[in-house]
Amino acid sequence: MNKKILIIDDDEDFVAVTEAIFGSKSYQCVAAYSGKEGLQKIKEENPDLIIVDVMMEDMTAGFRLVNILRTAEEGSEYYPYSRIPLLMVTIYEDVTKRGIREKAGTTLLPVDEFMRKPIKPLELLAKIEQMLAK
Amino acid sequence: MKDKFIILIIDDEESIRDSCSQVLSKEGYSTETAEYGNVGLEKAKEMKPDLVLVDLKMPGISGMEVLESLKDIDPDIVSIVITGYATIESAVEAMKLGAYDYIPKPFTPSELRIITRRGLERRRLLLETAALRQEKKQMEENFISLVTHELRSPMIAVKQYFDVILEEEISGKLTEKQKEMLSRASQRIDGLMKLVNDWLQMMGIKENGVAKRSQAFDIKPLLAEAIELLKPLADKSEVALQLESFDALPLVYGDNSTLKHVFINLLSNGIQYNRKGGKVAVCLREEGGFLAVDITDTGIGIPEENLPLIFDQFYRVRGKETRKIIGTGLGLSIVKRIVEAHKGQIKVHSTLGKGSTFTVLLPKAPQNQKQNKGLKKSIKKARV
Repeated sequence: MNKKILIIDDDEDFVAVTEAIFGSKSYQCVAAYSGKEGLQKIKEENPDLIIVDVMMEDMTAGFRLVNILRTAEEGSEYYPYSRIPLLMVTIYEDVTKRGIREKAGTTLLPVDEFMRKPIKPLELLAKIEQMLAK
Repeated sequence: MKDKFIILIIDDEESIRDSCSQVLSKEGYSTETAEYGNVGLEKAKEMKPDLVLVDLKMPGISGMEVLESLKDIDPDIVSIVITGYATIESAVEAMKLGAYDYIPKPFTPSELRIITRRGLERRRLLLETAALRQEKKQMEENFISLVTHELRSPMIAVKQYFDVILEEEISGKLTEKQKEMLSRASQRIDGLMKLVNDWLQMMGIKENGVAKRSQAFDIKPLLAEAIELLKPLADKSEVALQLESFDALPLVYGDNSTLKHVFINLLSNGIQYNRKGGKVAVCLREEGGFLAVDITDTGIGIPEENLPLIFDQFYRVRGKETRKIIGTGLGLSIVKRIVEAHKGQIKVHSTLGKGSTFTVLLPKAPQNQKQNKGLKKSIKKARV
């Protein structure tokens, strides 16, 4: 079975680029273009891995999404999806770089991995493979 | 803007304190009194008064000293001097120290009311100006982040398309010509992204920011780190990097992180504008009150007529040798700006065809700087 990757990003170009990258390795891709749509798609598609941008409909839509997922309690609607591997991507470096990296993996920003755009295609593939292998 | 103005009265005469307090409270102001200058200053720190009435002749620290220290607490504070020994000289001196007005003893309640009302009007104006200044700053910052986002997003999108097409494993085989043209296009986008980042950095270099982060430190590890970072570029360009320094050199006083940027920039220039088999040497020495760092390359050199222009924004020396090197024309102007924010200097010597030497002069740390800094910190901690 091909692994399913959900890409949540309001930037259609980023979605197109990642789809091209994953398509070459026969991953299955699903896209959502906002945090809200992303949460919907998570329930519908039950992906094996999620890629999520930080700034979408507002400055922190991505942060909220990962928090909703990771803090879902037993019995709640997102609980079955709360442990799906998460890769966060963003174009910001200066202001948030240090803060985000320090917080990656903690309860403040509970993602598994973090990458800055522009992503390098082969690096992205390697990271995804490594995350899915865990 | 403010619902209630706060007035602090510093006077050693109890009757003055009480009467002023009474008159001004009736006007609807919030008042506080202090018997001595030092007590008054402590209270000023705590309650952030809008206006301070200060007696010039007091036991302990004088009114003049109080005036000076008040400006440090809040530069927009309005102070009015009270004294029984009204002389033109003392009035002039008080004004020079930043007092707004002067009221000679004895004075009537209505004189006090008029003078404080005027002082508070002044305060209101100062606060409005400060608020406007703040708003302008905020707008500038918002503009910068807007530009960053709006410029960087499309560039990143273009860059990523290029990179995916260039990855043959993903997108299939390209002809050599296609690959070459796309690589060049991708590099140009890199250059453009660097330009935006450099420009943003340029906007961010502020003298007070540098001063705030400055401390005494040994510059050698920083230079070694910069050399280490540029080793891959130097190897690729077949240029040798070396650090020649002497052990007993004084510490510099500066901001480690922005200075690192200075040396990375100068070293990478030295490597890029060099020749195969050339070298870049970093040498440390003392020059007057400064520590001098010479960065000497064996590169192409800079034509004399261009030397005065190389630190200008967006200026690049045009020529056969420089055409292939992607640069933003901002590197050296950022370097200069950082060095000047340190109250240092940057100089350059160059011989065409032989190479250039860039010399950065940085202020030496005062002998006991390190201890002072530590002491200050521990005092701060003790207070907390």
